[in-house]
Amino acid sequence: MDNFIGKRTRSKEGPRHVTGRGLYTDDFRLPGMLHAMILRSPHAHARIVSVDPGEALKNPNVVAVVTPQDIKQTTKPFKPGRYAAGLKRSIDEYAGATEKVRYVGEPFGAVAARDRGTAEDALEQIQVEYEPLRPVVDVREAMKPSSAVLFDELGTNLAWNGSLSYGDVEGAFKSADRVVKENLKIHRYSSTPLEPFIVIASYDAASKRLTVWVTAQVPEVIYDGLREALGLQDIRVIIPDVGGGFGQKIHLIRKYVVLVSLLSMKSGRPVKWVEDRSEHMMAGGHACAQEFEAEMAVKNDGTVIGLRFKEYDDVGGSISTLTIHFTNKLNNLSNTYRVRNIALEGFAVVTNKCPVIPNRGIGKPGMCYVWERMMDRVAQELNLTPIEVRRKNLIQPDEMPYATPSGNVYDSGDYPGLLQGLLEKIEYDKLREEQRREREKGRLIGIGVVIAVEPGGRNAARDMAIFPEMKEPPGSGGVNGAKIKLEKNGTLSLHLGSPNCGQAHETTTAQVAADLLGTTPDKISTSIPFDSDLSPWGVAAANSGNNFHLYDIGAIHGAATRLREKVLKLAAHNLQVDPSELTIEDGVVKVPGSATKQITFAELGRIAYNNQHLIPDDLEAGLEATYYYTFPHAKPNLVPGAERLVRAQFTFSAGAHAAIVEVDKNTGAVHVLRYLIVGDNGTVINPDVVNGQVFGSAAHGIAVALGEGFIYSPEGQPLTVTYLDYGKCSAAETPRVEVMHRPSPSPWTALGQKAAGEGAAIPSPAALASAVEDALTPFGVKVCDLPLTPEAVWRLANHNPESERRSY
Amino acid sequence: MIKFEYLEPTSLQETFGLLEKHGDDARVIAGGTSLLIMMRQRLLMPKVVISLARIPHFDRITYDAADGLRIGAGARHRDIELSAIVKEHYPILHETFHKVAQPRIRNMGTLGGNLSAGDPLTDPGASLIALDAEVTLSSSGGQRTLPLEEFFIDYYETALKPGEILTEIHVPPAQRPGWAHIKFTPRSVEDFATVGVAITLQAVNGTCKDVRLALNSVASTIVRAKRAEAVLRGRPATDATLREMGEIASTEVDPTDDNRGSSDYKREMVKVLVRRAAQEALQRTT
Amino acid sequence: MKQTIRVTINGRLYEEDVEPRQLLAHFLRDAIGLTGTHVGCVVGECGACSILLDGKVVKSCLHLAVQADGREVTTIEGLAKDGELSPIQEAFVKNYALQCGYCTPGMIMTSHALLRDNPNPSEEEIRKALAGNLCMCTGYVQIVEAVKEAARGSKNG
Repeated sequence: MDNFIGKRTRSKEGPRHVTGRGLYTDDFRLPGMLHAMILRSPHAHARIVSVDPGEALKNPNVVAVVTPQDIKQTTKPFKPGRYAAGLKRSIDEYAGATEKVRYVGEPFGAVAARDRGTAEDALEQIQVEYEPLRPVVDVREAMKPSSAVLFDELGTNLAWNGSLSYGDVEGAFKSADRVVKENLKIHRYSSTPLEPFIVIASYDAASKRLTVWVTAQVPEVIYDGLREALGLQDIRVIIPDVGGGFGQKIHLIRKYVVLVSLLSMKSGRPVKWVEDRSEHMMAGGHACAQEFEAEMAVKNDGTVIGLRFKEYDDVGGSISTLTIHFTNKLNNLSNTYRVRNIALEGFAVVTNKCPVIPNRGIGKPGMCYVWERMMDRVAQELNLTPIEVRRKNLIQPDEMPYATPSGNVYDSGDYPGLLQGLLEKIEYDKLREEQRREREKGRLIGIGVVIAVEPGGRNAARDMAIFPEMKEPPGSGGVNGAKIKLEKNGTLSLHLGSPNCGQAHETTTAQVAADLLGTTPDKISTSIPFDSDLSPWGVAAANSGNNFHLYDIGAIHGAATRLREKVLKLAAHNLQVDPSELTIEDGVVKVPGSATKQITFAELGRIAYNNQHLIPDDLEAGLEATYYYTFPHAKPNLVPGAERLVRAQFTFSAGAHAAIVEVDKNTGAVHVLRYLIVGDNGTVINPDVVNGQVFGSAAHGIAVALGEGFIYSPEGQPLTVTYLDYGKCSAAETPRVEVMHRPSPSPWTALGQKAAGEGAAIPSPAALASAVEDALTPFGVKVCDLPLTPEAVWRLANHNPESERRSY
Repeated sequence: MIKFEYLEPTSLQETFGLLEKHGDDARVIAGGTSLLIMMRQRLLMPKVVISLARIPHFDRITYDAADGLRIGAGARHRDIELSAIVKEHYPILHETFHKVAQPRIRNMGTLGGNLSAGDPLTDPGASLIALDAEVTLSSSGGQRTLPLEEFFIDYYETALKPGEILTEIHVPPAQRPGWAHIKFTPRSVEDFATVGVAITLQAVNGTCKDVRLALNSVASTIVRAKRAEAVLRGRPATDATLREMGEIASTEVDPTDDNRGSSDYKREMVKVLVRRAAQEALQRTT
Repeated sequence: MKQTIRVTINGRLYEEDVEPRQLLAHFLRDAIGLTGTHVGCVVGECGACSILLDGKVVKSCLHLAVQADGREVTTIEGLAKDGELSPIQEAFVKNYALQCGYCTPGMIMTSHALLRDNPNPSEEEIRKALAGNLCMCTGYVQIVEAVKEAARGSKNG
């Protein structure tokens, strides 16, 4: 049956994209459509005294303006989500600021005009009076009583603080031979999708129906956001081709959908808004800067018996994603290690910077960074090799499925095998020898080897673990659907529950459906775009490589299996045989070996929609099946109990990474000589697609480690509003990532598949830090903070500490 | 983007007339790679934009062994990079223009536009100064020539007077066979240089006879480092001399903090890269 | 005040009235309806809007539409002939040299021009040529492979 699963097949998305026929939100034009611009704060922290759009509205081509007063009077705040559940006092967050602006670029109004140029002019004509307030930029400063406060309701910038402990952490640290400590830091960055935020909203006042086209990743966030903010019931969300997501297009975009919808409601016309690159860089959402104070309890032989850490999150100027980077630590809290005693404490600090969002990996790169930096540190302190220390602590394949101390259950994996495969591939011992020889010649080569799990699936109930006061789970597990139909002409059409943003949903699902139904992918068409009216979607509907493998593939598998039964039943009836005698090959249902006992999909299609006489009485007419999938092995610990054990995610891919770098001591420039990955993504449905996810996520993590990042001035002004200033890597600097697969299929998913989206973005920052530190061994330097810009590396190598100038 | 009127004169005389008529309201556009961005950001808000695209022979590149190289101000970076005569007689220019941004920009941006913008972060100026280039500035009142190193006044400020445009760049026959150009871009190659170093030198038996050293991205203009040149000129090019040259060069620059690095760091990189550039240039003389 | 321009786009002459402030990228998308030219940054850094202007690859967000008067433009829609993909387009499909597809038209226009000027580029030359076209999805590996394969194909065929 595996004609297509696991094979290279022709991309189904490729032809339209290479000819410029992809259809993105910006490609849609509606009759009478207006163009919007967003009114944004130039201040990091200020009170809005007044907003006067009078001058702008004098231009007859300016049709509608939304002011903070409109936002306050005509919309409601978003429902506080699960990431804001720990606030002592609830804080209203509207689609735009109403009284105070808390970061440069924060939206607080909008204007719609007949063309974009006029809207730009109008924006300049809106008179805004601000009362500037003291900006809060540094996390440690923000926590001091002397700091200005972002949210008066809270009276402090430490918006949330909480802790979790698993096992006997105190005991572990007491019985340790040694405690290894380190402070670590990971900075603000984002995946900066090439297509910015784009929204078209069209409100039909007569029928009270709102339709939005939006380049969003999670339909539910948009759907719920519109309902909550605008009080509308009849909402249709259409998501065409999405030009890159990476998490950026999940949360903050809902604000703009509401603002643009308001403009449409006010003007009675469709309104389009296209975000500028600089708007995205300052206000589109950043991954959280995280500071860690980590301690590891170890035995002299390298056995790690405990880990505890404090985490300070610089969450920016919003409370809606307050704990998202901390709570995600539960997803890979154990990484690949059998350490049973782990404690963590989180400090979520609001600052006058862009709000944080769930960027590729969401806090998991930080968790992995803690583990892998500390493993290297342990090796250094105990005079062991970094490989030995890791090997000593890895979960063994015969321990699978493995229950972690926090309640995760690892489905499958051979971590020692991944590590060994990697070492063999890079010829580790030879490489160390070469490194020694080159070092004698003055060349600084460094080798970093790290290992990581990549969790997949979703469970919103996870967050109850950090909020014991929460009584009802904010949802649990995940649900998504798929529909498959055998058409009258014998072809198949698929309706997925998820939108697509480059993870090849169409290609991959067609491969699965083709194998299950005995046809070929070219006879299968997948409907795009996502349409909330038509798509069989649930909470897990998302363009996310993290969810797709589980919920979408699960749903397609379920729907195709159901349809196959129907097809066989209808065929058996018409061929007058038992369904068990039948096979399907290339769209023909037949009794093997018989030349006459066969019937084509097209013939079955004509019967199913046309000819009651030939349909068995106990079979529904038509040939269509829908399936909503939930992960069948989600229990126990789906919802945390008193012990706060919880399944944060459900499948566990893994990868061992090696970074081999050369450092120029005199300039600090780091050149990646090789980057290799031995990965376990479970059953690989399409190797090109999975490799693409791995290449892309690795490249991003590497670039993050080596310098891309958001920088703020001491006044809270963003200094990185273009790709160049941000330091985005091009093809010329991006190393050629090499990938090998060593899959351990999941015993719990339909095909053994596991996640492959966030993947290599999780361990790659740690791999680079490890390699650069290794290269700098002659100077006795510790790498603790990212990013490793040339200047940062130069300062390390030359023991020249930087004065605090700017803030990441 | 702001509103403006777009004009395309077909001769220099016509251009000068338009510049006189519109005065401060007018900006000249050549490739447009920097002007359009500044206009979009409303840093410049001209009412009239005058294109030089239709002026005949404005992008001509000619060479004469006695006179040297003459580059029309409308020549695009890519034209200069790919010019066979440039490659043969001025390899440092070939190398420099190969490193300007990336091909899409090089196909658009012109040399005249680049120099006239007075942006200290860009590459061509330093190599041209290292080759003793001079620029011709023209207006309805006539034309004048100026050594390029005197053309740059301050950030985005040049010796161009109102009504005047840069029309030609002249590079005399190359005097010094040793050369090097280093564009230090620790992030994307597409980025502006963190530090740019251009050097030409002549050496006989390891002793430097003459040298020109210019740097970009480390001061309010592209600068010639004359005192650093003096360190090397007439002296044996030992490691110690080159080190001293770098040290002195670092005192002739005034870098600012930006995302590419702090001023301290850039000053240190000037020391390292000037030394490396001089070593590379010396190797080319043997 | 609008000005009339005459531009040949993908072999066909268009005469249109445009405002001087309209960028060539927006002209192609909004006036002509060729939405394959994407806009990712509007400041000439991302390359999604790369097109050929008189045969040279340029960023159409750094060009005014009026500057294209009397000139020839080729966009991504002009490469395939009668539904037959050009070799570089086919190589992109075959090698999965795209994910979200947003950078793809610009990548292909740049690659197309590269292979025309240098039919046998090294990996380093390919990577340098593509440096002005950013891709956030792929890590560039499969894109470089596609360009290499298209180069091999053009040599063999």
